[in-house]
Amino acid sequence: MSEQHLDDKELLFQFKDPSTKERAFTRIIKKYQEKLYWHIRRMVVTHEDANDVLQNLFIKVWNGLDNFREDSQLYTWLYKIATNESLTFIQQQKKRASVSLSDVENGLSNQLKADKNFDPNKIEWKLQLAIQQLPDKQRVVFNLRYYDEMPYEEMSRMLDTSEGALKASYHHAVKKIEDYILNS
Amino acid sequence: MKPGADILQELQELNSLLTGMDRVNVFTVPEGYFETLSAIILFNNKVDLGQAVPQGYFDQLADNILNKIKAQQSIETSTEELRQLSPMLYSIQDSNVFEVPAGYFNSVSDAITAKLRPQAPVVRMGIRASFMKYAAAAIVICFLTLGIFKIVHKSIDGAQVAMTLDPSIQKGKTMNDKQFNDALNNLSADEIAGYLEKNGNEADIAELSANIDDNNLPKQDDYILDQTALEKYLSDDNAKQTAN
Repeated sequence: MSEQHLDDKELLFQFKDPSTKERAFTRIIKKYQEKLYWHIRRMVVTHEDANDVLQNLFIKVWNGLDNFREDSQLYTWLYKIATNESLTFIQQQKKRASVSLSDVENGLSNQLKADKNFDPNKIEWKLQLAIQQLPDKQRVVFNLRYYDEMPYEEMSRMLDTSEGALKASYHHAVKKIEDYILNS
Repeated sequence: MKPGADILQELQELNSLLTGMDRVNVFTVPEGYFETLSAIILFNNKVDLGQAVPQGYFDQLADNILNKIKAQQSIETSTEELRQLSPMLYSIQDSNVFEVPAGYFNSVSDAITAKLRPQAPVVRMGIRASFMKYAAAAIVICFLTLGIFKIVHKSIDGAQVAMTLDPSIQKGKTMNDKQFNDALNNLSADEIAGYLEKNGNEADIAELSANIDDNNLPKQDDYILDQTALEKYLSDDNAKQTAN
């Protein structure tokens, strides 16, 4: 059976059974790794950093899934951990470099520009540079809505923010990105 | 009811009495029988499809359908929302500038499960091993210290040395190299450690006495009580020798 069609309830049941725990864990990874990877990658930019964050995420899942209360969807829970891990990683980079947050954002922009495929004339790369100019949380909101098409209701539960605030944040982000692209 | 022409012809050929008879139905049927017949047949003969429905299927069916509808509405809504907010961003929504190494997603689970496997236990060195390490260092220091006395040629004020040096140091000065090495080899780690603890300061004093001007030698109490005094005189002596 394809991992994409495995029921989350069944996976959680298998995970809680010691005899099938590792197999279930592997299936969870294979089912969600790509979605989570891209969510992380859009935050931290480079593949190496995204790989580190992704692995740390799943190690936390291994250690914490037994305590998952199933009061939300499994993938919502995973997305929440991925978001927190990405933001924590960015904060740690800031502390390590002992620079201001804006300089960290410039650092991420520089990493974009260092990509071997970077082309400043292409709108797709301008979009990524524009996204990096957003504050952390607004960047998360934008990525979740724009790339993952997450409903505001679900985003609200995940980020513990009102739907109205999220909608306003997203609309504002879209305008800022548009202005950046048009003026760059 | 009149029979058809071919039937009459057939009867006439047979010269049958039936040729002249009208067909009359003598049997009666309950009123409305044929109007209800099909319903009666279906009711009395229910079709069994023979397919099992998963347990709880109908309980979850409504929620499943609603979730699918909401998900579909959400996609349509977010798409429509984006189209209205920014046709430009809408047009490039599916673009992806980031590359991923080939085969990466096939290796993620293996890499993670490898990290989760128990690490090899770290065995701490025992106290005896630590002591042997320090004993070996003490042996080296002792060798260097006693060796210095073999090299030094200046005379030392006998009275002062007698007051400050351990007899073993004086004895070491009279040994030849072979005697010195044999004595060193016969020393245990405990003996070396005890020697250094007892005579370390005195050994430094003896070295200092052999190499600096006696008139400038600091008081004995200064050496014993204040370690920095020795360091200061050594640095001052080096400075003088450099100047000369």
